[in-house]
Amino acid sequence: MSNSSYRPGSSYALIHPDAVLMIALEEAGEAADLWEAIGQIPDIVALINELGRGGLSSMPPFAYVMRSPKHLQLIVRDGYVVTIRTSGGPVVVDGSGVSTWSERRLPSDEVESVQISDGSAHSSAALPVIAGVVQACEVSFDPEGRPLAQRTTGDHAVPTAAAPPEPAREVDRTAEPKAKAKAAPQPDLVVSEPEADHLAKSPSAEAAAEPAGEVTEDRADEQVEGSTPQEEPAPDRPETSPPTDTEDTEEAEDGQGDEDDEDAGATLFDPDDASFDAMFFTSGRPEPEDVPEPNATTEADGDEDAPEPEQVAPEPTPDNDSGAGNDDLDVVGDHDEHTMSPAQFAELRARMRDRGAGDQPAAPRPPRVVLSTGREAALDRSVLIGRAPQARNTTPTGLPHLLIVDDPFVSGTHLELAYRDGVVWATDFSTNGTLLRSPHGEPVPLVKGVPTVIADGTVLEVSDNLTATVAPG
Amino acid sequence: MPAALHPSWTPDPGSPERQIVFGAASHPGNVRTVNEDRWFTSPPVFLVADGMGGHQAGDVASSLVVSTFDEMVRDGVSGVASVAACITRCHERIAALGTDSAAPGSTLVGAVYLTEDGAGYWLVVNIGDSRAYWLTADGFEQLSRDHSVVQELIDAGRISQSAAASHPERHVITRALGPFDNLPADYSWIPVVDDSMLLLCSDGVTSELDDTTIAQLLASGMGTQETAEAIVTAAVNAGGRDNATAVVLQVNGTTGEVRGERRDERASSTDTLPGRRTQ
Repeated sequence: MSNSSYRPGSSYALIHPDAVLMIALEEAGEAADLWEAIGQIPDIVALINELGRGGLSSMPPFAYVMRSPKHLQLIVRDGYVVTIRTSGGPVVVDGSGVSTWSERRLPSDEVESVQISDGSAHSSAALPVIAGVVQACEVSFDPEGRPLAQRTTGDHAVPTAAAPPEPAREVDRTAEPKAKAKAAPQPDLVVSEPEADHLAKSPSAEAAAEPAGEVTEDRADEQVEGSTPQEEPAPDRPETSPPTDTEDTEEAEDGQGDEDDEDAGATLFDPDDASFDAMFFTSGRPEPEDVPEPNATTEADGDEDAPEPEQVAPEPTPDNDSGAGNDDLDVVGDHDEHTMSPAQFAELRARMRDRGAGDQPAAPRPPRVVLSTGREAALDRSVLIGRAPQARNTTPTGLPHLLIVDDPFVSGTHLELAYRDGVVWATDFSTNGTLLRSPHGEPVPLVKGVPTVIADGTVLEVSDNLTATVAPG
Repeated sequence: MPAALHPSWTPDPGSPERQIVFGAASHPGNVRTVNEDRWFTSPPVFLVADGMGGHQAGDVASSLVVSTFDEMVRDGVSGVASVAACITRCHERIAALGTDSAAPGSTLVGAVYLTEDGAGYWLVVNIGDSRAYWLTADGFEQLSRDHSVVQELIDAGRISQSAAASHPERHVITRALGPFDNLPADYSWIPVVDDSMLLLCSDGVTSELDDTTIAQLLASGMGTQETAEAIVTAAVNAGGRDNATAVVLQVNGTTGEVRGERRDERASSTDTLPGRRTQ
């Protein structure tokens, strides 16, 4: 958002032209990883999916505000307060005491300014920021001021025709410098442009040239050294073009504009059981009985809007009409025509994943354990192999996949496999032992109870009649 | 009581030989006037919830647990995720009763019959100091982990198990459903084993009866309903200082064979045949 400022504090604030995330993290490294995710301008659901990988109880406190062509959407958890100054008065969204989260959605033409605070006291002066990651107790910004770039996930800003969209770019963008983006030298963590991969893949020279999402150093220096955090006049805006420009380019190349047209405006999500399950329990392989197959549900597609011929103006839209009152939606469950069904969401996620390897901050698909019987399980969680394996007193997402075998020489809980830090570990718990047979060399028994790294191509002999191997995901 | 009057359930109509027979009993005890314990048996869900706090609203809290799980059963249990979502809803609904220091809360210990990789499994969930126990041919053991101050002291080696029984803080729990920090419940996969029994009970039972006594009652060969009543009665007779509740599940088998002699070893799912390894 333009005209952003912050006060130093201990929360991490990931500030992007079209989205701001304030979050309580343990380490700066986590902020770096999240910066890549934020660069995609995830909609609320995608962000919850990202942050809720470990289940609701391990989701950190955060507040997220994102801009779409017609709305400002935000989600707040315990620990943060978002204050929005609107033409109708201030709107405060306080996450205190909410065990899940609170959502709001406001017409963007009613929003004058937004402030996110983590509630800690502050007395320091506000510092200007254009984009990047800083540690703050409060972030303020004015969501207006610069046109939204086009996005293919969530709302479209397609200027005219609804057909396979020409990426409609603001005129001044074409003149953007070709420098590789680097965030301004903010006081804290600064992350390099995650869309480099995007850029490399795009055949459009224009797209390749655009430093998506962040400010070039020189201009940023000028800004930061300036005395006020205020006006970013038009020349600055091109530099902060959001990463999704390149997505638009790819989309144009796809020649499949039709599938993206469906997503205009689809954002809010009603967490009925199936969708709740989909959000929280589909990291990696979904439980077959929990998650609706992306293409098998009969959810109507009638919810989406046709892409609207919305003018993306280079000037701030004047606060003329607020349309039909306040679109204030109190928590998910009250959705308008922009609801996405679980099937659509799953499909959208799949497309986001397919769009470019590496741009999706989600981890690569985990490997699978494959038994000689043909049964297999994904290593998105631990896998237990045995006649009647048990797992005691863990979390719902820590519950392992069970591969149950009917072999009397196999112990109840015989072998555990886990995927951590890109490496597969095996631990034997059995009476008869497990042999590790690597592609080269003698078979070696696993030491009972000791997690052992399993290299590609290793065969684990669970019994004379049963082996297990690890296959790529 | 004739076995025919015991409620029983066939989890898999394709394998009618496996049946779950169940019974439940509850008593306010000798000291409390209100019974804030609730139990719920609606296959595939079986649970005990012990309400607490909140100016006698503890029974409201434990009742909310039952009604929320009832909704889940009606909507259809589709796996771990539905149980986790149900527990989250319990948390929210109880928290809505109030969040001050005297706000009510509830424990939960439950067993949900699910199918994992084609085999019947109990998803055992626990939050608080109610307990799940398992009696099989291999013996009697506690499945759940107490979320209590006393258990933490034991785990830290600060006090012994026997000292716990008389520890002044033995009823102070560290996790519950309600206005507490959103600490998660424990989840366990326990294979459904033929000729086994599962006991879910509130601390009104375990604070009065030791494990040996409970095991003996479970193994006594009475029907599940009689067993549940006997356990609760024994707890009340031993002191009854708190509400006492027991849900008893029996998998297959007729009475008296649960802790019987080992038959063919291969029939026991907990025994492995010693194997020769061919190199």
